[in-house]
Amino acid sequence: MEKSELKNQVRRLRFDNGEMTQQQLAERVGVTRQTIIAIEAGKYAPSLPLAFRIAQTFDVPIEQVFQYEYEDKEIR
Amino acid sequence: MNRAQKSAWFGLTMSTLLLIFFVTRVFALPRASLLFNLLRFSTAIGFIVLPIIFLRKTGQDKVNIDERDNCVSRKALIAAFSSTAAILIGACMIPPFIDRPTTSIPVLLLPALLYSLFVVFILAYSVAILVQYGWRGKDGEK
Repeated sequence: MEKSELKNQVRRLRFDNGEMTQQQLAERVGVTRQTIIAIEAGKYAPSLPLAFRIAQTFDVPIEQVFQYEYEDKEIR
Repeated sequence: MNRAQKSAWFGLTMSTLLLIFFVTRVFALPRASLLFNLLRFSTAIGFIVLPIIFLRKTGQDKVNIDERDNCVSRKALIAAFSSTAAILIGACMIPPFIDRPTTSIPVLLLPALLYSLFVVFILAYSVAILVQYGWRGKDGEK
């Protein structure tokens, strides 16, 4: 079984969007600040609707926010 | 520290104390009975007051519970039910192997078992919540 990891650029995108705070992003996408902290730290993989809401907030495609990285490159 | 963590710390503290006093009572240690009864009643009141203290809404606009909280809560419930079921199965299956199968037990043990299962459930649920959120308040804040 291959190992995989969900990487994200939420932290960088927040700073690129006028240094948006975690609280502001949380309020815009309708979650708690702790959830944003957990997503940025890679401790929590958001649901698809939440991932799309985050991408929509930054006005970028979802793949620019979240990247699914395979350890076994051959499967890709 | 969010409300679920505060609530879990409360549950963990109370259930641990109850289990300690329960064990001391079972082994008939002197003066444990009075303390146990006091703690039992204060805990019962605490579990009624708990939702009012920790689960009240803090603001109209603020998000209080989201999908991650629901996910954490669901996993904690599964862990708590599994632990409680394991204790129940053990409590029912082990005694016949220790003593003779025809031995009788006082019926008072049945509500005591039920009460213990409730305490174990709260303990396991609280631990599962704290393991997932983190034991400290900051939750990896940067």
